[in-house]
Amino acid sequence: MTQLETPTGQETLVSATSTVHAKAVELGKHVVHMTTTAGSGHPSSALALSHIIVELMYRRMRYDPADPWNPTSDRLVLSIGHAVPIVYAAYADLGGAVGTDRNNSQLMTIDDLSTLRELSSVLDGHPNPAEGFPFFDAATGSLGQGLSVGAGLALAARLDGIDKKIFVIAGDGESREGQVWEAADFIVDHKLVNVCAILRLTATTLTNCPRRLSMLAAATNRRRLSPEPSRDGGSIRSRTRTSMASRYPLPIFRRRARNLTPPGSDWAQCQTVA
Amino acid sequence: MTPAAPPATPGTKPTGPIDLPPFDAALRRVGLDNALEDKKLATRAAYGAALVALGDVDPRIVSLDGDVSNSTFAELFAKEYPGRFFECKIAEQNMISAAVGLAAAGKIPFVSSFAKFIARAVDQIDMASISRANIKIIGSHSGISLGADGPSQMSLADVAYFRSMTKPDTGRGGVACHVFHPCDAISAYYCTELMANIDGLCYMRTHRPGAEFIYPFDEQFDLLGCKQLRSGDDLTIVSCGFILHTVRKAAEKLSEKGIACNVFDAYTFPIDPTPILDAARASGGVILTVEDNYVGGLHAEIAEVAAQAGNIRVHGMTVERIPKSAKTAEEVFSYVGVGLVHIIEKATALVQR
Repeated sequence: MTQLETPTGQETLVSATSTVHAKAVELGKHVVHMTTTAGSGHPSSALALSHIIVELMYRRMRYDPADPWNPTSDRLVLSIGHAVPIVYAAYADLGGAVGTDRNNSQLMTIDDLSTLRELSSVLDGHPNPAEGFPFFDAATGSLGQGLSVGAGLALAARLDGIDKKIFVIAGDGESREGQVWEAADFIVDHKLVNVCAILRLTATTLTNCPRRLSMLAAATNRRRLSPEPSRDGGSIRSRTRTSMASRYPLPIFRRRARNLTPPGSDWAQCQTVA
Repeated sequence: MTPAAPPATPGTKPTGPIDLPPFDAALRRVGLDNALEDKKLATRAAYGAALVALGDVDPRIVSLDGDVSNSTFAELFAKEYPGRFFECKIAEQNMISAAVGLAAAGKIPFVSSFAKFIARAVDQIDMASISRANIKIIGSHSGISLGADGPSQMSLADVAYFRSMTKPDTGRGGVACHVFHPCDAISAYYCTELMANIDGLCYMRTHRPGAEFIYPFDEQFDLLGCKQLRSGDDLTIVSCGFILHTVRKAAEKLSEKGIACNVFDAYTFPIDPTPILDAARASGGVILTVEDNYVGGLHAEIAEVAAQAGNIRVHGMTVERIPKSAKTAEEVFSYVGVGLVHIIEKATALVQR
């Protein structure tokens, strides 16, 4: 996919959006298949992130999937660790390296996705880099901790003079945890503008708390962003760009995409266990 | 669609062992010269001196503190290396997880707060362990020796919690956590150096009150090690941390009564128990452990290994009631059943059985 330039130099998002959507659908099918094979694995949460993940992992992040150990790579912290199958799907599609270190690694293939949650697999039920998935920096899955990890990664990057971005995908449900607010304060205290927090808003979460998320927006920047209604990747991209240019880190709100099942797909026939 | 390449790789980072200068040089470096003449210094102050010494020799060392750096002595580092000190305010959970992020990027974070408040981040520490994060946690004002501030500031279950991680293997040739509970400033200094050289999670307890020096300035401390401070044929007493000073006084009193005790400083978990078990076999086959925390710590550690060894009985003295304020550590020790008199009585009873 090539960026199209308009006469005024502005990117057109139309074709980009359709490409992102097509990739999101493709990866979503992998998610359904792999979680079905595994017999568990939170497919709905993973599917809800598909467009965000495509936008980040294929377009926004600067990194080499074959060398996740590169210290200058942009990083992704999946604070809502249970949604990890969509990241595994994207990483396999990109041929990302897995293994415990550079000398003991191999490139992932789509076939590897069927090993999700197996004892011998590097694809643990939640992000677990120590078992051989170096795209991540820390284990997540116990909710509410990812934004803090991202802040630590951002501090280290600043100390080392590395121009890299730390993307953190958090959820509204986990934002009931006090630590999320501790992290928001910490990010502001230390002016960690290299952290990009993306907050996914679910319409159906058990502990939905959009009002408090608006408070987070107020706490971490001087403006308030309304929840992002669009499910396309183009708007995510424009939001990340806005966030990076600001004096304070801007959280990006992302409403859960509904009715993701594309017409004519075989998704509905897949029985999955969340 | 393919992602864009990252920026160019920066220069290589230092690796290899981290060597600190001798204890006395490090104290002079931070203006704690007086302690060298007094032969007395709080373990928490020795930690601060060690942290500065580490910062001097390795740029990977960073410090995080939860708004108590003047009490944990992390402020010594903050003054010398403000760019590598991160004030985390009163938010310990974020502090631990942020340290995990720093460690993932190659830093060696030393994270300090009161041991009591570190407990607030137990889940975060679990996740750090799963991540094999190379972070060092320092809990100051540990146990009950802080005295006057009372039980809301005292850590009592921390040893049991961190000890639970000193057995499982990381899959990388080490255990999930190393625990250190030094009794004096010199051992605290060198235990900090040991922690810096371990690739993985470590926890060290420091104490509020000043403690007399027990060891020479150049004493060598080792992983899995322990120190025999006194020899005797009648009983083997094992202790650690600040209360070890009370144990030494008790051993002195017992000696005057004609009871000769082995005294061991078990300053780390996991520990090689061989010297302790050998000494116990040669002194009636009885061990008395003394610690200033709840159960699950030193008593459990020694009892577990003795149970496997066989033919050794282990009696333990731990904090027997919920503590309260008192002006001195000794008063609190007595209140909870681990005072000087209690230790003497217990040791005497064990020898006379």
